[in-house]
Amino acid sequence: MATAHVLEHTHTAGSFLGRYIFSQDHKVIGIQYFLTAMVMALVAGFLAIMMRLQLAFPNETWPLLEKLFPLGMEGGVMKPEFYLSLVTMHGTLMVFFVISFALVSGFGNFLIPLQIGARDMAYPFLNMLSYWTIVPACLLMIASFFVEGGAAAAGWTAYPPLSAVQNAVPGSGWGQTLWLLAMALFIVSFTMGGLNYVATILTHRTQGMSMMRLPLTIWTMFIAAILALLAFPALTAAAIMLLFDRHFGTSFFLPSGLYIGEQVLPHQGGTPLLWQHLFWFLGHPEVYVLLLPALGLTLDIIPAFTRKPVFGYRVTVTSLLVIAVLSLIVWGHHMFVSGMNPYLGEFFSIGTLLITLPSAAIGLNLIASLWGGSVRLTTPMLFALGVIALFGTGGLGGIFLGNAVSDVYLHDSYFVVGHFHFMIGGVTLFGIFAGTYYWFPKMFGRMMSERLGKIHFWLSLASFYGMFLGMHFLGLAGAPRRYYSFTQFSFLEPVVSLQLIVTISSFVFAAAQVIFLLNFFYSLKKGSKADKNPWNATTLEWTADSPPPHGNWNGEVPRVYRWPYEYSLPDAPQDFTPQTTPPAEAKVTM
Amino acid sequence: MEEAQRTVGRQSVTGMLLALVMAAVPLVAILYATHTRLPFVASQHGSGIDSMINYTLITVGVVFIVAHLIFAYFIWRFSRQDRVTSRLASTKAEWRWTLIPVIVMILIAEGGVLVIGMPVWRELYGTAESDNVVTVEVTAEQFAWNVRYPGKDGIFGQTAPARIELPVNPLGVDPTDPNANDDLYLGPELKLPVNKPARILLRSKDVLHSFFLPHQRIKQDAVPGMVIEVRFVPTEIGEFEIACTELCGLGHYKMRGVLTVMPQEEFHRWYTESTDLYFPGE
Amino acid sequence: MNQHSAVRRDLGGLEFSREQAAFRSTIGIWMFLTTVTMLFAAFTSSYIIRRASADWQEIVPPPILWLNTLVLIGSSSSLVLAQRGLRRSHAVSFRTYLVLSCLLGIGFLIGQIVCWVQLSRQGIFLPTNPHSSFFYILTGLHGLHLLGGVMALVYGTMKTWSADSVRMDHLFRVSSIYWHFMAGLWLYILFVLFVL
Repeated sequence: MATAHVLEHTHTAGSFLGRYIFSQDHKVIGIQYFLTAMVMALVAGFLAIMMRLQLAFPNETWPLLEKLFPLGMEGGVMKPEFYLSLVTMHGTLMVFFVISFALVSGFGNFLIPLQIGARDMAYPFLNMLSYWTIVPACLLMIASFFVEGGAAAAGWTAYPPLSAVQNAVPGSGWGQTLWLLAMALFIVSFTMGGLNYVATILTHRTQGMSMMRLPLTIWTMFIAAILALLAFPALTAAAIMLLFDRHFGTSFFLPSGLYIGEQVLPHQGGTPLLWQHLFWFLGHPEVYVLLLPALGLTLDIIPAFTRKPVFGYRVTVTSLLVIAVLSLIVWGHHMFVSGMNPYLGEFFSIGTLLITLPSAAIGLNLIASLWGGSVRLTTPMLFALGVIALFGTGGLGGIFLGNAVSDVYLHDSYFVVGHFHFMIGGVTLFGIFAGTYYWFPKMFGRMMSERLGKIHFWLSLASFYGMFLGMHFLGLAGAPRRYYSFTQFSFLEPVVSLQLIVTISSFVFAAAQVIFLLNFFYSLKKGSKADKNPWNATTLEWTADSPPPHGNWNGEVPRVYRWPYEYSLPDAPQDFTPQTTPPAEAKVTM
Repeated sequence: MEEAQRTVGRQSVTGMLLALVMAAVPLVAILYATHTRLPFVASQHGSGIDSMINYTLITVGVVFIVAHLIFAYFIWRFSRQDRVTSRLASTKAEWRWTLIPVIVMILIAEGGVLVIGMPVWRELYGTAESDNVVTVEVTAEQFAWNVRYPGKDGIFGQTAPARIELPVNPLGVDPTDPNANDDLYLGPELKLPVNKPARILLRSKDVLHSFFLPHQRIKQDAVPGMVIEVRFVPTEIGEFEIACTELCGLGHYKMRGVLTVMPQEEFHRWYTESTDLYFPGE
Repeated sequence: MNQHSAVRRDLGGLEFSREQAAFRSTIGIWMFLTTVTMLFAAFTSSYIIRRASADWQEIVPPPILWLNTLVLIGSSSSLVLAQRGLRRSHAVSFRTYLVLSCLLGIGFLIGQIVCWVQLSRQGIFLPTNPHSSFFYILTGLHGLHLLGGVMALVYGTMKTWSADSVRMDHLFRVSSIYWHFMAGLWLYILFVLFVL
């Protein structure tokens, strides 16, 4: 066996530029993603606030907003097409440029090498490239608000013909083109990231770190990366075809005889439904790309604050894998009333509801992880418990929508909006917050303020329910989504007053996030110093300095002897036994 | 030691509070639910859809309440103890406990689809007998509904987008087609007889739309390039609204139509004597 | 088997052993090829759905396409011979076949462009009909992927004269996996466009 070492050094730290801007260090890249997500969240959140203003006060004028958007808010009154741009861009930015960035790219990059015991990702240069590919994507998305016609306005799902025909809606001009280009860059970047995750987790685990000793965070990142690699190409193909339909006269999605703008378009024979199939082939797995890592973080945070192992590690890993496989074959449940063959509807309905089985198993494991523990309600734990609660409500709401028959009535209603905000808005966001409070000391070497954190939690939790629990009932009352106002229909009269509750809650939620930002930046400078392992946790990252140096560990990379949930071992000297503790010092569970 | 006790004390206050909040979530949901009404049902299959929704509301509601109570109890109970009382369940026990939620979900989710859902889905999409139905063509456009009836001959005049001419020929009907002579046109107003199957041929001129009859529990996308058949039996007389539920552009929120369901004789009289011809000049 | 256990034994250090680096790049390239497969699978299913429309018209491929195909197969075979040369530590045959493979690859790309020019002379453009749209997009995408492969091969070829042989070894292995895959992908595209 040849053991000749090839001296293939991982990159060195280098100058300021190399250390903080064009860094190849996974921790710096993770934090770069995290901060970028924060900026994009401010933008996307601001868009949401404007939507809420319009929905609660449809007759008011907003002279201040006119200064910022002179075209969309002419005379201080929001134009309907501007409202649609807000809806579209809020969705796109939040899903791809906030949650994906913070959760998958941010925590993924920061945690994977630290938790598996590696000096860095498998391809550090690719990693840097991946970050610098999304920077122009962000700029394109933001710039699209200021081009002729405004930002894309065909929804984050960008269904053609609305998104394909330039004069179908003002945003379908330059705005939609920029949207497609930015999405293409995003996909390229995410693919690079996904390759890196899979290769790193498969090849860079430290000695003793078998797959069944991986923290669940790593499992979920691993599965999410594979899902992304399998699902995103469908959107790439769709985006290419849509660009060609828009600019080069092809007819992939555009049927014959479209009559738009008082003329018949020359396109022939395309099928609009094709886009929906391709989009949702990506779109549904994407939900799990975001959701699973949030659950992974939560499952790793809970044991640190119950002082006992998670319940059902093997069951959870199995369930995650089952969910991943199923998520690739159920995209049709977004299309029950799209005109797709109704027999397919039955198939997709049965398949979709199969996902409730492993999801319910994970839900049980989350709750059962509290059983018999000594629960310590620190801020990260509060947010982790929030994740459990929101996952429960969101998941149960999904049973209504996965069922084709009830979906006939609920499709494209506020019920859907409420449901997916619980899942890819709430579970993910609360997961991000839990992770931030928990790993902040590792990232920056200081603790965040618990007091501010708790205020942040309570306000966020209450206002989150205020926003999105109510939306389920708006949907049951029949309110369709993406409506600029609810004043045109008499059957929607009961809906109008509820909108005010949602809007007020959204202000509270926004205020709570300001507290989070204050806490974040205040603690960055003034937070109390954190030692290596402030939470007395067991996983590998806590054996590195806070913040870890370049290369993560001074000296040897630690060796692993046990699984990551070794809390309250009966014969151990402390109530936590790090993964690095050899079997001689304490019994090994797994 | 004292310090530890104080921590546990503070803990249990937070724990109590969070437990209360979690127990209150289902209460808020119930409060909402009692104040929410689906628009009343006015079609045959609609009651099937409602029973599907109600079945799910009740079963899921029970799980929702029970899960929140258990969760609240766990938070309250285990935030009050400062040492671990139960560490690790055996692998067997873990799998056995997993069976509970899995079985519950099989019963609620899959059971609902297979037992209650399937028959309703068949009723909605199955091909029923074609005589004794009222056939109507509904064509969506930015931002209006166009309702056309085939007239006495029961045959629609041919259409072609190239012949569209506003406002005289909004659907592009061929004026030389003799079948078009008795076609009736009502703009955004759909008239149907009560208790008689309606067969709606849904089309779109430009982008995607969705034909939403809240009271009749009908929602179906209109796709340009396709003719999609929608069948239902209205069971209540009265005036209802038609809304669009697929984003179609800036006027999406006000794309309103009206459905008038009338007694059969009255509908028949209107249909045979109507002067709402598509080509009124001829 | 042996190789894998070696990889597992000593990971995460500043230095990677030869086997670790090889394992890592093999995983990387196969994951990437998976996404490429999914991309073309998405196009295939779109193609099958789109073909059901009434306006479908088959275009007749210019004969040069078959010549290009032979050139690409030649390039791939030549790379196999280069691999054999490397295995037998026969530097001359390794380099000769490697250069030949690069040249044939570049020849294929030029041939594809000639093919496009010929088609457009016949008045068949991108938007002419759905089959031509798919033809241009699929050949274009394949060409772009192949261009990446050519650049890797050329880079590798230049390195054979300078870099140490161990490093060369896995760079070469990865790019040849990619290259053979691209040749296979081309046959698949031909099959979808003109046989299916």
